[in-house]
Amino acid sequence: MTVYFAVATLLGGILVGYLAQRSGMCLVSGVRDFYMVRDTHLIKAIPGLFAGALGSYFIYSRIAGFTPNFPLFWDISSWITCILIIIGAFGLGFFTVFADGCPNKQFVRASEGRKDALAYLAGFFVGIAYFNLVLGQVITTLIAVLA
Amino acid sequence: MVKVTPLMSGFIIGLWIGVGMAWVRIYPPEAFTVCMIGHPNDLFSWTINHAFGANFFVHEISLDIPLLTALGVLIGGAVAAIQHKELKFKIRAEDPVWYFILGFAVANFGLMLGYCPIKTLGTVAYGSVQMLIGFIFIELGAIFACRYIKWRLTR
Repeated sequence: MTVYFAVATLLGGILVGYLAQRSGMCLVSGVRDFYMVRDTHLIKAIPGLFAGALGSYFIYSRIAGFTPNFPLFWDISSWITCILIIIGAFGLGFFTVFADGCPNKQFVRASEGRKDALAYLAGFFVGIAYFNLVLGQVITTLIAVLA
Repeated sequence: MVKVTPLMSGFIIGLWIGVGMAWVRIYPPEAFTVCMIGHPNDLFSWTINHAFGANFFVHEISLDIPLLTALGVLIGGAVAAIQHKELKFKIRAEDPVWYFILGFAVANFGLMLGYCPIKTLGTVAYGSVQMLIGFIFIELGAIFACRYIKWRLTR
């Protein structure tokens, strides 16, 4: 079953990568372009993705697809989680603008051979290691103390 | 040749998120079909865990074999770039250290949030209030960065 998931996500990833490379899609750059120069080209990906996902959840929840707990609605588990989400989301959006694209766009740019994106991905994977070794541990301890 | 617009690619990726959840059953968590923070984390952490016996966090679904979306995006992007003669191997990195730092920061903030903007919006479509707050703050962060850039330019 796990091989099935790996192959499915590999094929899905190829589709996502192809579409993102052709369209330049990025959910953060769209807002940046609209805010800076009133360009609405990239921001259209937001309603597109929302409509596509909502439509397919809605259809599959009606025709016996696997959609547990749909719709989720109020799923805030604790105020600590909420604060972490706010800090994480704000930082992600902030630094993504300086990097000229979200992680998906950086993977696509790296696949085009752009060296700045390759440097970004090197930092990205070191960041993952740092989070797992240090920051994640600090956050877990903080949650345990505050909860 | 059909021109692929952001609206169209967003819609198709949104459909794939729903198909991956409802029929392929990439779950838990909800709407986890595409996540460019969670899936690369699983791939990297799984590899480190198996190579060095570490104990990095991996989502339940990636415990045996990691989800390979990140690898797929690299392949898909390369195929599209080769097909349309847009490979840019000769472009020099403007400032590799700066981009390294940005990648490092995005990974840490992204893991604090838990997911990437695509997965966050996919979960908003699933009805999650928590991820709605997350998505709003991603865009607020982007707007704040734009204001900072404008302020720096006008100084």
